[in-house]
Amino acid sequence: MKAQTLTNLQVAFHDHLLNRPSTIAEEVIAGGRISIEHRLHIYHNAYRARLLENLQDAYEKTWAYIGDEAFEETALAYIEVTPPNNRNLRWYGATFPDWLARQFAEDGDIAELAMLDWQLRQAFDATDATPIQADALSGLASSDWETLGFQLSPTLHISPLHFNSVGIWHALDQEQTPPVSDKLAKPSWLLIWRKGWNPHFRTVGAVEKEALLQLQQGTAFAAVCAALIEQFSETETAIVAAESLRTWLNDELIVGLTGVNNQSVNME
Amino acid sequence: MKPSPASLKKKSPGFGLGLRPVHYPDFLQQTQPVEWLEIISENYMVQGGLPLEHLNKIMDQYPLAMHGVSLSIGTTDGLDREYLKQLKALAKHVQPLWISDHLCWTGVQGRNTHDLLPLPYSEEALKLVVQHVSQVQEMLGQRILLENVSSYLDYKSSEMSEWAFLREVSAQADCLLLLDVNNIYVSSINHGFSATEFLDHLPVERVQQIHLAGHSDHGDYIVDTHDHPVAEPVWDLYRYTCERFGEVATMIERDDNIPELDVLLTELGRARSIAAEVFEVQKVAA
Repeated sequence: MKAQTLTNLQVAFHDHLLNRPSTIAEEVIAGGRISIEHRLHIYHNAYRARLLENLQDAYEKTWAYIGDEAFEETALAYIEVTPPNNRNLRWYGATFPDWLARQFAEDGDIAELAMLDWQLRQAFDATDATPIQADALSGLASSDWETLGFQLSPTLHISPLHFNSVGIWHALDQEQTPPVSDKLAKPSWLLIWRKGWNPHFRTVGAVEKEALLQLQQGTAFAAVCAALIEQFSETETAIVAAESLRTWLNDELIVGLTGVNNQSVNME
Repeated sequence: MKPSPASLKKKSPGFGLGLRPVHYPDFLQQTQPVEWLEIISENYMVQGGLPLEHLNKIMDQYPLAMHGVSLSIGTTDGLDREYLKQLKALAKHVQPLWISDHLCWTGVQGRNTHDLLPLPYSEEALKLVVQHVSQVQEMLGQRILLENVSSYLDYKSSEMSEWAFLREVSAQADCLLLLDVNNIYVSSINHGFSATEFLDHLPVERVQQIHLAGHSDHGDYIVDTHDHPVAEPVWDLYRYTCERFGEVATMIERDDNIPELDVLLTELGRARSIAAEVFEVQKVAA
């Protein structure tokens, strides 16, 4: 037997699965009740069926939105050009929203809904972190507030929103007819994260989005508030800052305190 | 020093089921009549969240075996170190009864197919698999179990039977075996060999676990779909397996069209009855 025979066989088999020219049929013994072609087709079919099922599972709302036929057609086309490269099937389909954005360029709502599907799945099993409780802040000295920063949940993902995808998602979730796709009048962003064990999402405006991005980058809370004064009066800034902080605590978005006595505090 | 054959495998923990997310509430709300559970390793190779929370609760109540689908022990790419590191970390956390995967390859040239593809039963493949199993066992610090897969084709480059290949791999790499009785039946129909002859040639001292599952019968061939109850000919073959291999940890493996837990427990009850009947007859005969 020649060296590298096994490699050649595996490459030929893999080429067959990927619809590339392949010599695998020459490697297979003829006979029995089904033909060589039929035997190879069982694997060819199983490869696609498994990946399609995985995409249907990961992109459940997108599947419901565009329907069985359109989803299967575009998913199978994606599978043809996107062989899995991770050992864990959990990660297959990460680029499917980008694919949908190209395939349905006139219907950006489809890719946006797919992004929501994928990010909710990411939040579901992302890294655990214990949320900070409100009383952890009440004990801080007033000088601490000048340097205080927040570690945000490692599950948090912030994404721009251009369509009424949130309304579409909720309608599909309740198995109702989704609203007609509509472009949003003003720019919005979507926060996707895990609260407790369940993925959550909500829409935010530019002010809250910018504040969270700044905090994610390590900017102190006081500095984030100072930036607000450029847009609001001092009184309004105090109200916006206090309400935002209360919301983030309730949402379990804050998982650690930084800049307090030069130490990072995690209340685990 | 090599251990004596008698100490190769652990004593059977009894009868179990493959743990599936749809049954988490059943296992979390009350104690179920199973002696152990098998988890799919990859389902828990994640950063956090509910899957690991459920795992932590369930592993407090049941001994767990870890069963992987992505080791790809027969790929000519070589072993995936990152995957093995994750597997080892999960094993450290779970402290499983044992760790198993399949005697197959799942991808090549850096790509994965997520299918359990058959190897040719050649000297070249044997050498490669033995080398890989040895490396995996050294890294994990324990013997692993390899499971026979269902297959739908035979290669011209095969130089021995599937059972001879399994026997040689387990002996040369000093690993254990997970016998999927359904897979043996499926392959016996698809390739036209004797399932009992297959079983007769496997080493009793290395069979640590048994899978029972359902399949889809297409008339001319059978596909190992794991979405049906265990078929009658597979129950007959399980009886024969009990006669030959004695008490071996046995479980029902259902991956699709998953019924209520009670249905699987009833099916597992049938496995218990068959095993009990066989051992009773053997006791009387002795």
